[in-house]
Amino acid sequence: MRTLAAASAVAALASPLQAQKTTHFDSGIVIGGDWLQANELPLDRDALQSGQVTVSLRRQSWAVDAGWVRIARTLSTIQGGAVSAGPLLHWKSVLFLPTVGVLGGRAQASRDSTGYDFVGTGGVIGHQPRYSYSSAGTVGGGVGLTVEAPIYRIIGVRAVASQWFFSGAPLEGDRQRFLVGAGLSLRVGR
Amino acid sequence: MRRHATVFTRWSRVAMAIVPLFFVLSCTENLPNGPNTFGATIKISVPHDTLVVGDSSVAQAVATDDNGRTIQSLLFTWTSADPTIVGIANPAAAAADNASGGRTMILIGRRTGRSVVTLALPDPRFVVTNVPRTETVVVGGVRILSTRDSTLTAVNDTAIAVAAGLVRSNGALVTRASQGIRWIHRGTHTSVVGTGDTIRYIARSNGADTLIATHDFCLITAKCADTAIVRVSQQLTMSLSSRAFRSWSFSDSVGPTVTIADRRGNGAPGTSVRFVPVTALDSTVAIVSAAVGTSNLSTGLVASPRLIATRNDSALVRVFGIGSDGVTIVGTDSITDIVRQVARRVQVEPLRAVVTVIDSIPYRALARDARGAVIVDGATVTTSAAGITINTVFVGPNPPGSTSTQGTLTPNLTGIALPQANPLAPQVPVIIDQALIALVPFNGVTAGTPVIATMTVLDSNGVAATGSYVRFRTSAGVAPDSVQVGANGVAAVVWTPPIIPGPYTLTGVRGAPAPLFGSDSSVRTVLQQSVVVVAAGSPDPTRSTVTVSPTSIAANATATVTVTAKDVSGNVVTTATPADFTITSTRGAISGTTCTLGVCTSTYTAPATTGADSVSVKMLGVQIVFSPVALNITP
Repeated sequence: MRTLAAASAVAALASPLQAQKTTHFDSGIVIGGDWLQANELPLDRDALQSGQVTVSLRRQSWAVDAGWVRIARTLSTIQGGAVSAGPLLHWKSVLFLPTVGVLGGRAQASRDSTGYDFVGTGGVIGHQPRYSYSSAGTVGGGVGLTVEAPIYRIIGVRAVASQWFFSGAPLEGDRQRFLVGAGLSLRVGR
Repeated sequence: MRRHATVFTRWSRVAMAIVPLFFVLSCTENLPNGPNTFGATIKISVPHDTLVVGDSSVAQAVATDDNGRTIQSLLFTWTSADPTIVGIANPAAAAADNASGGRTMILIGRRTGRSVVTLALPDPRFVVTNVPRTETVVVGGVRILSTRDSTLTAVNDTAIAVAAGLVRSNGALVTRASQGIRWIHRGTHTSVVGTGDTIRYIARSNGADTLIATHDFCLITAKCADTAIVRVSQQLTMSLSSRAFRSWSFSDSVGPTVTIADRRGNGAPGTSVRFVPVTALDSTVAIVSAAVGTSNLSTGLVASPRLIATRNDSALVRVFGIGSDGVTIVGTDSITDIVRQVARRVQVEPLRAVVTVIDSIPYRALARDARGAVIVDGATVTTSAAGITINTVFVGPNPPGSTSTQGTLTPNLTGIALPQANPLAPQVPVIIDQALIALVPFNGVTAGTPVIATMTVLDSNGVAATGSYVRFRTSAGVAPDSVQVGANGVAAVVWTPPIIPGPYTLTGVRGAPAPLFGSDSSVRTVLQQSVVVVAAGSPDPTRSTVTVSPTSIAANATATVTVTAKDVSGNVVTTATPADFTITSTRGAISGTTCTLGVCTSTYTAPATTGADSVSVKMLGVQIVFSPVALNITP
């Protein structure tokens, strides 16, 4: 997480990258969708995995994204609307977008706080979980880095990494989420 | 520009179609929840359910789930129904138990008894049933702290027995009071008062009792009973109320009050007293009776014999107190009995008599003590007579021609038997009993003819013995049956004297048991002694005879006719006279009839002609024996 933050900060300050070249994705509106479950597999429940859809307004040197973010873990789900902003950095045809964002939405979590440990046959130690489910509104903040490259006309691919922090009682003691994923970008207007 | 707008619109529509799908897919989260509760079983695991007071035991709570797996990190609740019996140590002080202090608990035995220790799991996650377990707290043994063998030497003596239970202290068993000792009392020689560690036992009777200290809650392998032997052995001493006695009459019974008691004044059952005269001579002075009265255990009074005076002298008698076992001599002493008869009466026996004036009867003068015993030594009794003559040991006969109808014999006492000669004796005047002798004429009684003899019946004290019986004996013939004395002291008996004339004695004595002593006639005093002369009855033709001698007589010659007059019993009637019969002859003549001592003779004169003749004798018109007598008159 510290690495990601440092990288975002460095990218934001790396003005030389910005002066080199513009791409099709550095202006206008770009719609993106990302799968963000790469670092938390498998997801041990039958639910939609983590991901996000965004609409990004880009103006050569900066961009503002708005969209829906879902962060699914085995025992929790955070989802809601998110807004982020950051400078656009170019390197050749690759676009770097370090962002700082906020999220408002709902957090759901099941916590095995009342299960018990046991000693089974042969002295084998085990645990019998007992989950308590809770749901509440949450507000989060985070930083992220999106690396986007065009692949065909208005379609691009991108890799996303972000680190989030959330409030809310269900996430007590478990407020961080680190997301790594990949997705597609579609420039739909200038 | 228009083309770009068209593209934008198209892709926007695509995006707008994807976003709702995204929302829909994110609706079903399937986050796990629950379960609300688990099934579980709990139990208490202890090395043993018995604790010694002061000792502790580590108890462990074990919970297993439905799969038999031991659940960890639970917080149990331990409760004791009676914490004063089984205490539960502060969990903080319990043995380390991972995350929870409630799994392992220390049970502490505080006092004996039973208490239910309940294990509960107040955890809402688990559905369990509380588990009770009965813990028993015991003592590690019982020990008597006081003596185990004691002896009480007097009834009502009191002692205490102390016992305590053994409890654990610093790893060792030590005695501690108030552990609920229970005493078992075996035997009846003591009574036990109180309960608890200390009891009091009180001596009740000789013997040994057993006191067993035990405890209802005691470790099985321990010494759970301790025994003390309590003996009661009275230390008895004998005491006499007096040691010197005086008897003023034979048969006086004297003796001390004998007490055999312990120092608290309590007697012992089975104790007895024996009197033993020291010498054979002492035995002749006083004989020892059987024990008299009853013993009293509460005072120690013992039924003791009495010394019965039998001879004038002094007797030394040992007194032995004998213990309950009949063998042990618990005390010895001696007493003396000085016997000296003192006269209470002086008299001449028989007190009453009937004597033919020409006859005599024996008499004796004597003195009697207060109990009627004859005083054989120390008493000189002289007799003076009036109206009758004394001849050595006989009284009578009176001189011929005496006209007395009653003689009186008066005794006179001298010697040491007089009360005044014995100042310590009761100074009671001596009573003088005179003997009254009735004198009857000669031949007062006819042979074979019943007579009624009346008599005044007196005992040796000269008192009319009303209601008593008088038995009779005679010197010959049949003695009358006994008669009862009437209210006025007079008895009458019908006596048939023998058919043979002569002097006879009819003696009446009062019926009574045999005398205690040979010299004692007090209870069978001669009451009546009649000496009478029985005369023959009237001549009787069936017994009287006639003889003529000779029976062949010459004419005008004489012969002697002899008639012997006899009464119906064949006794010659010495008083017969010619008037008692008639004598006749057929042809001869009878003359000169005279009688001498029952034999009468007459003279028969034959007729002048020869031939037969006869002599006839009749009494009351009846031919007597051999009458008529045939005679032959010869030329």
